Amino acid sequence: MELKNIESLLEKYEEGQTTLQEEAQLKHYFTTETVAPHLKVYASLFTYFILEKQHSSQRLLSTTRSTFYRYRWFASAAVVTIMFSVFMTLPSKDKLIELSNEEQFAYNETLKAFDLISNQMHKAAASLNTLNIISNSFENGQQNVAFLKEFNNSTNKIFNIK
Amino acid sequence: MNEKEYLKIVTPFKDKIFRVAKRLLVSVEEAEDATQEVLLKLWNHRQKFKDYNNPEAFAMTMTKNWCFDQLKSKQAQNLKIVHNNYEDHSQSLQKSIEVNDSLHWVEKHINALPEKQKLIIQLRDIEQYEFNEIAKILDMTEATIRVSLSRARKSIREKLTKTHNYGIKKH
Repeated sequence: MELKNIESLLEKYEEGQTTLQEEAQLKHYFTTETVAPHLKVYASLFTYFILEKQHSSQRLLSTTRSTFYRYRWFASAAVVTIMFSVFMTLPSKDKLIELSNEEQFAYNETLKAFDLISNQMHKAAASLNTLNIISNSFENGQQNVAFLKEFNNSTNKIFNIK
Repeated sequence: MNEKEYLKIVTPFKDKIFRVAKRLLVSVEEAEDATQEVLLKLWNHRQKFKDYNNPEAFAMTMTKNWCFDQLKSKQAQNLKIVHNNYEDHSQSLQKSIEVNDSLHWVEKHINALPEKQKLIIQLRDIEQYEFNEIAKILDMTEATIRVSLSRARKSIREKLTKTHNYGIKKH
């Protein structure tokens, strides 16, 4: 194709007035023939357009979502399940009521036994009180002995025994 | 409509969805996700499918909306992720490096355009849609699309000329 022809086509091209056929001509010219130096810019442009059209998607088509999307909600489901099971296995206070008669009886008996022991402990503690009193009077006696010692010191000074 | 029939309708423009999504979202991974989402949504609407006289245009509109939503939610999160689509360049020869570089600049300049212009360039220059189809997809008039497209093409060419002459000419 003549250079003049190409130049006028390029002008039209830049105005957005070319048809698809004319654009195909331009692409053909710039990729097959030797290009005038002042039009070199267009060569890379049209080569790029042609190369870009050859790119294609590598992923296979399917009408179902990818596994990632399909199983994404599994995480939240798992959390809910775990929370629920933990909640259900927590020990609750209502369990005592579910005891059978025998167990209830045993439980009461044990309580009674503990009560008894605790009562005996109280009695023993009461008898300990008397010991406390004795210890108190003992301390009083000690104080008195201290007074006697002081008194003895002063009498010794008076009579100059030592 | 069963799955096979659906895939038959969808497969011809599946890659177009992918490319448009990639243009807007940059990352290959996100573009794949977007493609899957759009096709899944279409599948869920398959009862109404026969009513649309142009399922492809409908799919493209859906893709556009989905990508814009994604971009908006990312902006709202104030997250900036720079995507690098790492590729194996082991086979690239010294000779092709220069070409690759100039193509890289083209990509850079296109991606720097405003979202609407980027999308129009993608639909027209890469996917080769007719103006009336683009008008349908974007819900704009043909005249506005032409103006936008012309602006985009000019700005790409100007930027390319600048990078091309960098260090050679004063500008």
